[in-house]
Amino acid sequence: MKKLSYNSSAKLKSFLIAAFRYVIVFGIAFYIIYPLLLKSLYMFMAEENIYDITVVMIPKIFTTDNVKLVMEEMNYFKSLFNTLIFSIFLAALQTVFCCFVGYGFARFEFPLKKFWFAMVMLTLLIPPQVIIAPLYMKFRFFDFYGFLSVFLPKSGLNLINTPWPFVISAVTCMGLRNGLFIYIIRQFFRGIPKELEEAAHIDGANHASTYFRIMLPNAKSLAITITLFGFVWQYIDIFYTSWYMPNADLLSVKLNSLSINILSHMIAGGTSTINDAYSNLLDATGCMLVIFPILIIYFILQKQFTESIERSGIVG
Amino acid sequence: MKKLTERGRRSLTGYAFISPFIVGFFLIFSYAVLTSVLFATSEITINKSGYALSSVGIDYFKEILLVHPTYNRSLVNSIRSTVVNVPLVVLFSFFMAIMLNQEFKGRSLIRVLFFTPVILSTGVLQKIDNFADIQNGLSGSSVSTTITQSAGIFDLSTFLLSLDIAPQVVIYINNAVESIYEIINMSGIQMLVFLMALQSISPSLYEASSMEGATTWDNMWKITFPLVSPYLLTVSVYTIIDSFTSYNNPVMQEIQRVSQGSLLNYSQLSAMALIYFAIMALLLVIITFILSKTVFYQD
Repeated sequence: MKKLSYNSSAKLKSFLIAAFRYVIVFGIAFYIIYPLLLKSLYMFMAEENIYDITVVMIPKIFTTDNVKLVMEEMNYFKSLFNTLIFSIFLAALQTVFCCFVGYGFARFEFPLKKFWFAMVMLTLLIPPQVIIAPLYMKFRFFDFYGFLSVFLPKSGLNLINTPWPFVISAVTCMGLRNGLFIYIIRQFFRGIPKELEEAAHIDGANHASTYFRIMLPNAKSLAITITLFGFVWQYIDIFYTSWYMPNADLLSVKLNSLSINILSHMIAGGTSTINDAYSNLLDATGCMLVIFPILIIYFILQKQFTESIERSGIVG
Repeated sequence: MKKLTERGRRSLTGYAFISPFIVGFFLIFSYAVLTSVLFATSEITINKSGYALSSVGIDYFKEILLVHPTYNRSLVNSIRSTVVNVPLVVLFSFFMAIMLNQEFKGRSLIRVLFFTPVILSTGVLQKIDNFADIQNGLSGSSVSTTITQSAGIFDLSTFLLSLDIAPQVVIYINNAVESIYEIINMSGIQMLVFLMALQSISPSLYEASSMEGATTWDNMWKITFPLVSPYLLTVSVYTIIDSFTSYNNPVMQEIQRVSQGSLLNYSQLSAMALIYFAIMALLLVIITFILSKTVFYQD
């Protein structure tokens, strides 16, 4: 047998490694997009096709009936508009206040700092289900340690079904996964050299102007990342939303009760046969309609998104 | 007014910066945690001016642990699935991060795809996703079995059993393969963390060790693994929290069911959640303890 030269055996080796990597990576990537692919096909599948054994993935009859029905039931464009405005506003609020707190933890020494940081971690650790019941009560009978009851009825304000519980949570860094945001921001600000701050001080800047004019401009891409995270998680949040604003015209609320609503309309309309598979079809359609705007935003901003997370350093 | 020292002023400024969190902590967080303890140990009655509490001690805890028909089972299932999934998620995300860290064509596209689960496996989508598989509605097969069936893959478990591998191991592997979809969905953030850790390792370390004659395999265990090990802890803790608070979790579903009842179930809900939290905290402490023994810190 002819002996392979060193060069060609090395080539063969690197080719085999590359081939192995492609198979694994693209195989798993397929696994990840498979459900999305499936749902986007179901979106246009007519109901008859579900029961047809010869139809596996690609529908025989393409129809937009599902999309129309779901859009009408969700009041799609109005809900989408509401959700976008609501989520962007809250995400921006969360980012602004988490930046403050993260900066405070990163650049200042103060008594009990370790304790407070441990508390930030605790807010991440405690599952929201543990505290949601008291939180609901808090916002149902809202009162700031008795201050408000001077002007208002004794039982406090009812903030349920208003956006206020979310706004209050965002302003006080108690929103969805805000502990994680504080952590990321802290890691980022810790990495900025101290000389920058000292130079600003010598030029007469105080802490506030150092923060706003030196530190924040540096953190622009990080802030965008955090806002995007907050936006996406708020956009699809159902847990807090179903407690605080159960009747809101938001996509997540609509999607949560989508198939139940449609099926109950159908029962009221005199349909007697209701099928699980059909309600799944509607759910898949609803899912795609909800995901679609995020995917567009995500693909536009993906470079910003993935790279700046890597740069910011979530841990360390 | 007394003049503050520079240090005192700095710590005051520090407190000013973190004040939003402190307000939130007192107004919302500590209030909520303490109240949920109070709720769990009291009977709630609703009246015109809100609600009234009367203490019942640990009756609810006893009831849930000793009388409730499904809670114990759900609890054991939750813990078991966490214990099974956490090592798999950590290993998988570590492995994938090593893959994605290498240079190859189409890397940026793949990175985007691998990041989508971070978005898609939370909130309402996670909840709906469990039901939205049409095949599931019709024939009861999951996404993963659909894929393996359609790809015509040979039966892994019979093959392993015929190799005389212990049935427990085969069952574990089989479960891992079955839940691959779930594991991929759980490892989005983790992969990113490992990727960052890998990128922070200086290439000169590898160069130096290769000069001394180390193979890639040696480098992996002598350089990559020790330097990434601090992140193993972070990733494991994050994975445990994530797995415990996810909607697919049996106890979470149990709690969800209770919360859909009336306002009067709050005591039961709080008690359930507190027991759950205590067990999670215990598990976290144990795992942190074990892992912190193996973690290597550079400085």
